[in-house]
Amino acid sequence: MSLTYDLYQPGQSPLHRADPRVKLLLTVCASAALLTIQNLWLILLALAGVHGLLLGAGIRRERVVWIWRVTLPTVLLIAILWALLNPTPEEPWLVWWFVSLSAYNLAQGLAIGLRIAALAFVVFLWLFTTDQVELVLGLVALGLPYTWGLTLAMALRYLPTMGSAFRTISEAQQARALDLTQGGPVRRAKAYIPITVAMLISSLRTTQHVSYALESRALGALPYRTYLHQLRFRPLDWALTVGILLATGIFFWARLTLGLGTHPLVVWP
Amino acid sequence: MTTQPAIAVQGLVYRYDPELPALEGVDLEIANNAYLGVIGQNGSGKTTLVKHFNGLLKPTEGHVLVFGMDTRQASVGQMAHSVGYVFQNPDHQIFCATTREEIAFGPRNLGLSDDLVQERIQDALDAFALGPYADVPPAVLGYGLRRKVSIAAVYVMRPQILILDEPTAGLDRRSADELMRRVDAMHAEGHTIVLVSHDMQLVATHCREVVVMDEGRILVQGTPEEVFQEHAALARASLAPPPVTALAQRLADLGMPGHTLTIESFCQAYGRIREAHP
Amino acid sequence: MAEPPVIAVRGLRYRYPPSLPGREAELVLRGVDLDVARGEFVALMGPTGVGKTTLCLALNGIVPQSTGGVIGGSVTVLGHNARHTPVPQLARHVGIVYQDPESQLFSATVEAEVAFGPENLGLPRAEIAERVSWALDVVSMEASRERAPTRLSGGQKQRVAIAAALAMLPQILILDEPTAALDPLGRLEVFRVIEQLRNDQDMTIVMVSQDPEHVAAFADRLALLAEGRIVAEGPPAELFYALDQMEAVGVSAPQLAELSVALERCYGVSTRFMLLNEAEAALRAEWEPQP
Repeated sequence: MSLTYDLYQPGQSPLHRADPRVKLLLTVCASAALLTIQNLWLILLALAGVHGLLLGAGIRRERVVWIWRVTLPTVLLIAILWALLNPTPEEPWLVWWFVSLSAYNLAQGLAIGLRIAALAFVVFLWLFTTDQVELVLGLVALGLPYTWGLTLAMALRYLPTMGSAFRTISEAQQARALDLTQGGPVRRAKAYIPITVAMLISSLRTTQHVSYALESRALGALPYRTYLHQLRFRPLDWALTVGILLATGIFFWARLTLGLGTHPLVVWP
Repeated sequence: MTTQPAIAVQGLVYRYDPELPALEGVDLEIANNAYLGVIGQNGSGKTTLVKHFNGLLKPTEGHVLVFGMDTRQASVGQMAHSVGYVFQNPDHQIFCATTREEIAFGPRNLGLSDDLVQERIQDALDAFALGPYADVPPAVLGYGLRRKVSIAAVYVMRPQILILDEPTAGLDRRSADELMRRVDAMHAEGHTIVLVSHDMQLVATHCREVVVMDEGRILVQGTPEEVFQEHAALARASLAPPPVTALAQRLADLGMPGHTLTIESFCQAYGRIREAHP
Repeated sequence: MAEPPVIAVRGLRYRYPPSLPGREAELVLRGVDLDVARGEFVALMGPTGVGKTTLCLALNGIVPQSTGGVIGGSVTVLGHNARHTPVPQLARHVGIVYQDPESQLFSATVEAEVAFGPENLGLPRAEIAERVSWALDVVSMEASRERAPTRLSGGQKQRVAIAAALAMLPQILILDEPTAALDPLGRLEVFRVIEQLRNDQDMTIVMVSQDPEHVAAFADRLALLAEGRIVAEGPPAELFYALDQMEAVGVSAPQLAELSVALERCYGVSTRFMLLNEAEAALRAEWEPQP
């Protein structure tokens, strides 16, 4: 399975119905909080939480698996390198040349690796549950120019298309006897040139066609534009906003005064 | 020695990719030097089927054998030595700085000698009237020319089996006729041709065998004469015979044979009937 | 007094900017003259690379405003000079549907796609909603309002693209080979919608097509484009039997028109036909004794 899905997954869950600005706030606060901790248990708790939200919002299980597949190599790489190469403040179990391993290191490596996955999940939680229209409306409501929102929405819209195109191009070049499976890393990397260049040319062409299509549909006819849908900030959205801000405030207070989450294994050091 | 089919498809099931229509059990034998047309609506599984012929897709269940070799055991790059595949959109392959280079890419990958590569390139440039554009970047050419470049780039590899996905889409009449003359000539030289198309006239005129796909299965197969008389099957696949055939079938009560495929055969049959009933 | 044509192209010449430095592009259009009357369906046919797409883009101002290059002659659309009226302004009068569905459907839902144009025109919400419903209804896609355009069939995608243009209430619809990528069923869907637009909305239509069978059945007038000029125009029934001319231009005639000419040559069948019903009637009349 490749990145050939639309990111947005239609649904009627509370998360789907929440205002896009609230979801953006959640993403920003959760990311900020995640970036300040390196406690394995808290990261696992955060992962469990975001999984709960994703599945609760009716996101299909394959999509969740897909995020894991995409992030897992990075997670493992970081976890292993960190665990082995970082000096440990504790008595190591194993020392060999410049490599040392301890429970502390291992937990810290895992925590930092899994943090990447958790950050990815938080961002995808936003993208999976917010449709393009709301995304743009949310950004415009926050004061960004419409074209910025449109650009972001278009990038998201064409990401899966580019994924498909990349796959087809790779198939077409292989059908001309391009072998991607033989030789060392350098030769294999070189074998990707015909694919990348064709991809670039074909993307430029698509971009040009999209820009013609946008103009033909009156983009920029007036200095302003109107919208079919309006965002409504419901009482629930206010409640969520207050909740998110409060939780973030409490978290940072605990983080700064009590050192919450600074030790890889001990929650309250 | 028994004659080995070019392609043997046995119990092929494919349902892995959410983007592609699934195949629900396909059995098919394509003889060496066959000229096969594959027709059906979009989403019927035509392209999914033919993408198995050069190993782009591997069966979920069942086997696809190309000259006796299981496609699971070879990479697409290796399969390309015997199977050529012309994709529908030329922009999915054009990347070189000149048309000449673009056409040379395949033969070079096959490891052919420089002399042979040069000879073949010249032949392909002539065959598709691309000589004047040999030193121009193919990406800046118009759609029709880009399409020709992409076909020439596979033609030049002279594959024993040639698969063409909608080869005439976007080509004008003259270029389409020219292309099909080349394909017919390759068939006459002994190559096996597989043509995927929505153009019933094209299939009726050139193919010797036709397979109708619907919902991941083969609905009917046979000669074009046979298949274009299978009204129920064609209707189920939302297809209609070429206009001349449809007309002959409407005039069946006057004695027009329902397997009339071309203008020439219509005229002949018409002449015979007129002689019989002056 | 006859109404002036809604599209008037006079001596249109055009050269794209050089695609490579120092290499001047060829003249694509070499003096095109074309008039289209209100409510008319004009089909444009011609070999690849003769400027059919360029002509379409000149009718909605993309050529030369977005493409650059050198232009001569005039293009007047509903009284507006298409060379200078900004493309987004012309979009109110001229809708366009391109060949590739993928690059003209850029929204996440069908509804958002169709609302995009009216939103850019700054219309009140109620009116946008009304136009979206109306346009989707015209192309029979109301039921797919919440679906992602990427998930639709080829024919459905092009119908959404038509609806997206219609929502700006243009009087002219330009279609550049809208059925080239479609299967037979998809083609028929698109032509049916166009037929309906003509009957119900009196829409003026200019369509590039490589599909002689459908042109024969649906178009009022056929214009043959070759080497940057219109070399012949007239009702399809006039041009399609001139097989030598069609051959010289490099365009296919309907198979039945070719049959009709062949039967005349071989057996003196004098009734011309190019549609299935016509053909059946004509040949039956040849057989059955005249009253």
